[in-house]
Amino acid sequence: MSDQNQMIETSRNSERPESHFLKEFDLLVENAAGGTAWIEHRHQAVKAFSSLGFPTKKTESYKYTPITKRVKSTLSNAVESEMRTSNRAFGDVSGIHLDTSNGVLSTGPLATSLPKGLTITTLQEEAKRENGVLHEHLSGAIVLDRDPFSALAAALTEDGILIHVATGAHIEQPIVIHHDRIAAAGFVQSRFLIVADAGSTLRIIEHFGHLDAGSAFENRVTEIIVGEGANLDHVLVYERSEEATFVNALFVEQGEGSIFKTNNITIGGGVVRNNLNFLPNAENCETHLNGLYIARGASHVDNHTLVDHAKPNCYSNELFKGIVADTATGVFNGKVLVRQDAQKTNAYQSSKSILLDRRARIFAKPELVIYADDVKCSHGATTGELDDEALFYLRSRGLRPDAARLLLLEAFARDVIDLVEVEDMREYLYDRLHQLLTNE
Amino acid sequence: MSENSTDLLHEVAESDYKYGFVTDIESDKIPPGLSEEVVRIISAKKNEPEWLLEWRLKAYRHFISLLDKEASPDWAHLDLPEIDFQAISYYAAPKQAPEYESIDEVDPQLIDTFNRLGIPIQEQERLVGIAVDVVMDSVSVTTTFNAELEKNGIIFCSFSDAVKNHPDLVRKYLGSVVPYTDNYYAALNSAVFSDGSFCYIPKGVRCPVELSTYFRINESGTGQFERTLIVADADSYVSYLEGCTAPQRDENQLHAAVVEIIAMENAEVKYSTIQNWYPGSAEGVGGIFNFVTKRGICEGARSKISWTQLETGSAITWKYPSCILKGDYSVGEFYSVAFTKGRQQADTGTKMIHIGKNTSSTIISKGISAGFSQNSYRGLVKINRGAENARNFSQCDSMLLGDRCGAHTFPYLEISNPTAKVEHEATTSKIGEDQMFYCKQRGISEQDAIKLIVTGFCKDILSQLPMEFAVEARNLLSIELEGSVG
Repeated sequence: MSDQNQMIETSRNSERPESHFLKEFDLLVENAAGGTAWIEHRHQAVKAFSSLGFPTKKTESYKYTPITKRVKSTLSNAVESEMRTSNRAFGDVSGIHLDTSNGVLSTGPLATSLPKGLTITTLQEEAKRENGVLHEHLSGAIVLDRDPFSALAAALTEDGILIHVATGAHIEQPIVIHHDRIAAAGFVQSRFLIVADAGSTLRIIEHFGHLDAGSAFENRVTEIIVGEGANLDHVLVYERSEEATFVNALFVEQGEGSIFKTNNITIGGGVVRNNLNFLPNAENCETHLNGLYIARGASHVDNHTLVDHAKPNCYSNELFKGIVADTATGVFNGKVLVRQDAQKTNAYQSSKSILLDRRARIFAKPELVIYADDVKCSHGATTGELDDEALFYLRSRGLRPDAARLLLLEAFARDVIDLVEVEDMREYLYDRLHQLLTNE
Repeated sequence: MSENSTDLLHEVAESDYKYGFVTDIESDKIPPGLSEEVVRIISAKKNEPEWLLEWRLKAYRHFISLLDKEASPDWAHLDLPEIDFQAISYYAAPKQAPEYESIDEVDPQLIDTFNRLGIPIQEQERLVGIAVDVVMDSVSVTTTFNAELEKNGIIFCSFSDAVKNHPDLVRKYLGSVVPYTDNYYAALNSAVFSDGSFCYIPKGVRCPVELSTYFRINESGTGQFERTLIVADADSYVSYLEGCTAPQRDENQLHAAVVEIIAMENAEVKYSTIQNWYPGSAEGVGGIFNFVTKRGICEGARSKISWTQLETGSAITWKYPSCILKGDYSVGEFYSVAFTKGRQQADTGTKMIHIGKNTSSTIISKGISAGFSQNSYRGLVKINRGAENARNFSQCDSMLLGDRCGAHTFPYLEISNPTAKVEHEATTSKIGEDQMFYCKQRGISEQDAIKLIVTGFCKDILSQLPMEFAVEARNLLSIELEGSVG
């Protein structure tokens, strides 16, 4: 290598990973289409990203998750333009099916054969409309300066999915989104906006398939706006391969008397970070937040949740369960914030985890930050092995030790799967759970 | 809750500090400022050996490097004002500081101070049977009961005396649990610590009396940098009490103490604290900054360290009495009540580091916030890879008295061994209307009912305190609650 090349090499190595994305942003925005408000929003996002920067060792919220290492390694690998297609697990679930390619609708905007009141389109398309849903709700839920990854996705995403349900529309069939086409490597930034207007109901199912899914770093931000009295149910199943990285930000804002449920099931991936943010921003909201993760091999699964109770008389319930095997790491950080005016808040949180192997690790930080006095808030966190007495009981009934263990582990995880309301999905998840726990 | 009880809570939150007075004793004080020269002066004034001066200087340089890096800890849930370390005087010794043979020789004004605090020294000597190593500002003024302790081979003396008379022990253990590099305030303390207590319990000795030290800050404008070192040799037992009240003043005072405990095989150390420093006025003016590093190591198998604390004072408390459970089958315990009112801020909790096999730890923490105060529990339970069959149970309950205060919980659980069993639970609530109603319909007045419920809320902790302390603690808590009403 010549001296000059060496110099270029060193300067590239010492370059901060942020600058790569800032340059990319400048290039993208130069040629960007879409309304000015959309571009303006992306400028704000990139500003937020640039001032936050990627997490360092000292960043409290990424204390246990060395994600920046993953950013750097993804950057240093050659970008492949090749696309991979993963399995569609929920193809048979009856519903409205959508396919994505790098987080963008493969089909483009859907106009025909949708139930009344339902709009499915792309953000690009919607940005062209002057008084569209996008302009009304853009950055309605996202908090740009909270996390660098969500700011980054907001800045760099060129296009995304928009699902809108009009006032009072009850969409009977679930919308099933198959995120089944993905770049083989490199970064995939994507964005998703769901707006459920007053009194509407909607169920959304998302699946990130595992077969042949490549090693892409998916960085995604989803905003969900639940209108007054609306009822929205969201289930996400993530099972990419062990080389994949997933940073998944969810921002939910709820209107008065609305109900929002989410179930986040992570049973794959190399490094997975869920940033789940909930803002019940009016009285009498109900928020259900459930999650299950199974971390195996050398994988690392980190669930960060924030329930920000800003208004009185709301209810939130959070249940997270994890099984950590081999040399994997599980992280749970659940924060419940009750602001001064949020009197009569009932907030509950429970995090349970089981370690299966000697080199597996769990880090849990359940936080309560409470500024209102007339509230009922509690959290519980447990970590341990399977209960000896329960094992003994099953063995005394004639079960072999491994069968007894399996039974108990499945029962442990099924608590969360049982909260999924679509039967076909539950069946699939039971099977996958069994496979994962028996290494089949 | 009715308007009446809201008023009462306001009065509780605004009640005055009962122990505010300054004793007029002339002090030998060096001018404010922190420099290598100051560290040398402190060391010279105390006739310290070369190695200790070296250690202080290393700590000083480390602190300065942290200061340059602006590495003051900012992770706590506290609103910390900037501290000007050059505006503090680092040494103050009472001017008349002769070695007292008996308590009669002590300055009568000092005796008066203690009497007003409700600590009758002479009576204690005769009736209660507690040896008291009284720390007045920075130099130990009197030590009692030495003769009795000596009979058992127990060493209990001021830190300076220990350096003089037992240099080997001090040198061996000083900084072994809390090294000077441990944290910002530990580095500062290591550089400029003035005095403190030293205690050594020899092998197989069960200390016949409860050892107790009363700390008081008395000189306006002097920070107090205490250093306590307790070594319990194999098969020994000691119960150590520390309590404090401080005079009222407007100036902020920095208190950065370090406590180190070493428990060898089968030894047990019980460390109890009542902390009632001046909390500042209702508007948040003045008050003590209490930044304390307390840590014990269960060095030997089957050893046990137990921390019990009642925290009612200080403008800002930053304190995490911790246990390193190194010996197999060792036990760590942390029982805490933290009561904050007015503009007080407390960020307190514990760390339980499980290293040995079959170790267990218990954490019970009760936080009560009133007025505009902020009260946080912050704790770490760490189970290392080799810590087979470790067991932890944590319970953190918070109670809010009023709608302008905050109660927060920040537990960290880090588990690297599958055989560990770790449980954490936390609740936050206010005094139930049903509880109040029940008490009132039985003819119990509103304020008595609040006292009753709060005392009941803290019962688990108060019952862990040694008897004399438990009575004092209960009184203190009701005085705090009562405020000017009672």
